[in-house]
Amino acid sequence: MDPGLNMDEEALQTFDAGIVIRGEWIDDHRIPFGGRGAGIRFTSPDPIRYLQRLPLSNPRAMSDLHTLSFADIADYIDRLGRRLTLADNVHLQQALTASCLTSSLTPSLLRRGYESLPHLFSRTNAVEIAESTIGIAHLEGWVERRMNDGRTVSIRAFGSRTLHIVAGNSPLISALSILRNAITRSDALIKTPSNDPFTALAIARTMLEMEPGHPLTRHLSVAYWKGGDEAFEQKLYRPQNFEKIVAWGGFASVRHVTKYIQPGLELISLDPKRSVSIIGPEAFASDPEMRNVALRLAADIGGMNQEGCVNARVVYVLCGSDAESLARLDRLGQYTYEAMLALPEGVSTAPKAVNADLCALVDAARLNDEWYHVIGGMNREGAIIVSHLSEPVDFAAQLGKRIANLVPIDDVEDVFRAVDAYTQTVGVYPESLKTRLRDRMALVGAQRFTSLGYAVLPSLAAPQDAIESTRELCRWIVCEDCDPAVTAPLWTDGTIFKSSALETVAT
Amino acid sequence: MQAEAGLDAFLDDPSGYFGHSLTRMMGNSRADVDALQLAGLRRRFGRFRGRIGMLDKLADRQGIHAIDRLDDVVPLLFGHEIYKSYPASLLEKHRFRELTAWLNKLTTHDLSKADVSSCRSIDDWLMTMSRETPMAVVHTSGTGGTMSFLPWTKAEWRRCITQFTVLSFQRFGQPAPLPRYPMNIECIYPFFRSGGLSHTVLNDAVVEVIAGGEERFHAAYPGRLSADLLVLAARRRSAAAKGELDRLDISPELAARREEFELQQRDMPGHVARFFDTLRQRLAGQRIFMLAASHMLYGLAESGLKQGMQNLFSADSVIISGGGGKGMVLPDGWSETVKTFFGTRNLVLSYGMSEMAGQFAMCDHGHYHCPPWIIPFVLDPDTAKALPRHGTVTGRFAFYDLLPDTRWGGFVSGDEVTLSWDPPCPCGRTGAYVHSNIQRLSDRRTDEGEEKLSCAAAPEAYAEALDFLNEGLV
Repeated sequence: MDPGLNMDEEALQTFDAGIVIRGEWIDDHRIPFGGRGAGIRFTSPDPIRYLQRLPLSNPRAMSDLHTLSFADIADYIDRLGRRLTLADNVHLQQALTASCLTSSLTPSLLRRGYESLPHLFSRTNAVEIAESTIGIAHLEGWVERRMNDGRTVSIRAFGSRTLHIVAGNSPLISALSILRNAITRSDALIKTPSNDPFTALAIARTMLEMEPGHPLTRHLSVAYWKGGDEAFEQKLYRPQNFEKIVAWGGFASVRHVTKYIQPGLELISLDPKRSVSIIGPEAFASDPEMRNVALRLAADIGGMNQEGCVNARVVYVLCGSDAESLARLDRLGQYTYEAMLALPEGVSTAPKAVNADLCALVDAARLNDEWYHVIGGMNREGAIIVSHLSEPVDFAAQLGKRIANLVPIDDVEDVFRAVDAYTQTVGVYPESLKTRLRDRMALVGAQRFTSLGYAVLPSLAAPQDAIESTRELCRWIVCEDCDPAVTAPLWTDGTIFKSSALETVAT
Repeated sequence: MQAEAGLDAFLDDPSGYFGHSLTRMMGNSRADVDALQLAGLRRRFGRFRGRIGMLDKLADRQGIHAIDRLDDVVPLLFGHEIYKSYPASLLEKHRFRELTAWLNKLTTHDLSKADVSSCRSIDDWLMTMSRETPMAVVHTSGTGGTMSFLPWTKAEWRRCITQFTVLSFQRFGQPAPLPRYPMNIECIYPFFRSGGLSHTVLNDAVVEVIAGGEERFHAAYPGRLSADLLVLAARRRSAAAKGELDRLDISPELAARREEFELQQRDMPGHVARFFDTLRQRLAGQRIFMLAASHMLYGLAESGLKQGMQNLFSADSVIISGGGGKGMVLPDGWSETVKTFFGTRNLVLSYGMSEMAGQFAMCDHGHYHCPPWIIPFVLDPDTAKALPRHGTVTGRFAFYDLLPDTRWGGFVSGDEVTLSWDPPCPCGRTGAYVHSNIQRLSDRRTDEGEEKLSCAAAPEAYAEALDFLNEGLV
């Protein structure tokens, strides 16, 4: 129809992907995927041909994972991390090249993401994540506890067969999923996203080259299929194939996955979130202090180009709403804008793609200067919109591409209106305000409070989206030892939840 | 001097300038039309610069002080964002004085005299504006979350409908008698008589210019479509999509109008029955005029055919409607159903929008033809730069409408069109034309998860809101 479009299609670079199934690299029966919307074309084995082999149909096959000690696992992760050096790893290099075309992130940010892989896959990191999110003792064996009724309850965290539907807004999401899978001795199938089809594959291939027969290598599979292909998904997303599905991503894609959830197949939903920052009046104590706050805020807004759900989009500032206060807020906005543009190129750059609709909304706000003071945004570099009304812009939900909205408020109670179940991170300045807010704000939905400036740098060894997503990969198995002499048996007494004879005597 | 006077005449009444002849209007050389359009655009820009606040601010920022070529106006075309750039909280908080001041930045009329201090709803405000100023403000359905307000005037609507009569009552290439206004033709409309949506505002001008009196205008519902209820409908849909219906509260002002809305809903079936009675008993066999959205037309035709009515009106009746596309899903052959019911072949499919005082009527070759007072542009959807004004181009549709004399006529639509500048269409019309494959740009983007409703869904959404409101208030 349109010759222009066809030329675009032909100009697209083509990449060859494959499927990894439990230590085996498969690259036959390729069919084309991607296209103009994806930024690249790639070929990958027809998933329907490998449908039967993708899930681990026999869960007993996970027993090999239990021949490993946690030390073995940490050791493997550490060795893998050393091989995930971008400069030496051709798979990562290819993944980076493809990601530069598919991702919303710019090349310098992607590069920085890949360069952080050796830190992510390090022994110390693996140990910290395992210890603080689950407890290594529970991963290593049965942890015994003597109960009130005299029995011994032993609990152990087993891995699960999990399908990871990962998001592609950062290569670290694929990497983190692989790391969590190894730590929990689980069996993962990673469904790669079209905006990052190669990162998980590159790590899986590195594992394959490092130790093809190792149980951790043999319990990771990576494949691409078109999300929403119901004929395919209906056959795969079943309780006999997986115990859990981890779904990252957009509202529509998470809602789509919920169709397949049924008894025996559980959803761990890392659904779309947004984040806010809250700044107290202390920010205006002095000009250097304002510069300091502006720099921290710039990192929350501009870090990783505002592509994450952790990034601040709306910023509430407790500065009051009279003319003098608004002038001060304008100045904070100006400082923030300047600081954002000066962030290091591995942290933040001018955004890659232009969102024409958002630009038009910002331009329209610019024309209404009785309500909004718009700083920057003339060259698609990002912008700070300072509201002169005590409420966010009507298009707050669309903010992105390094465009944030500073909103003046008189009373911190005004922020509560904006916090709900979709609120992930709340960056706060100063620390004392955080302590004041956290209990009540957690009740209305906020999921993480952090010092202003650290929104984009969360600890990976902590809960995420108010759930313990690493811990939830585990199946928590109980083993009880009951001695009728100690724990009153049902057949003699009939009373349940009774303390043990020994305890009764003691009291 | 004579050229100046001619330009005035063209801008004031384009069809009059061409002797009220469709054939003359659509048969000019490209060079003549270009010259006329450039002169008209410069006249409009010169007149509006310094008088329309929003245009001034935009032109100042862009450093544009003169128009030398048609493409020079492209950076100054307003996006739909401009018409909804007021903070939505103004409506919730009844800050209608500020809303009026905002609207005043979009028109040359002085609206500061209008007393809107007692307005407690959008409907109040719209009616006050209509009563106290020359404005006939149009709002959109607000399905995207925010309602746009377009600063039309009553006079502009009258001038607009006059052009419609030439575009739709005449056949290109065939001689036509001079039209006489009012035309005193029976008009029907299958929705509300009044309201702020473009068609319902247009009804007033249709009464004046075509029907020649209320007695010849027959709307299915005699009342007024409530803008407040449309906003509620949009909020309700968005809350339902997020599973937050329980958080949706109805303002006391809307709740206080419970009786009005209950009555509106209760009377609907009766009104529809009486409407069909009028069609059957009073209007059958007569020449009628109707302008309505295609799904309304189709709904009316289907319902009428089920009741055994067909070929109801005289064969020279005229029906104007939008084509398919633009998010509306109609069954194949829908236009045949419409023609069978109405009994006319004069179903004029046209491409237009609330922001445009004109219509691109479709010819027998399936092309929507641009009338000379609309200057079309096709923009690159990514860069917003104008694509060449020759050959065939595909991109975002934009235009400058020379007809409005109190508001800026430049607009960037949300539609992707394929437009041909040359060679001319075999139908004989000489100017640029849009192909029928029009689609919304937003439909092309798969990454937008948000649910988009087109204006076509307005009656349905309105009915849902009535249900919700009346149930919620029990």
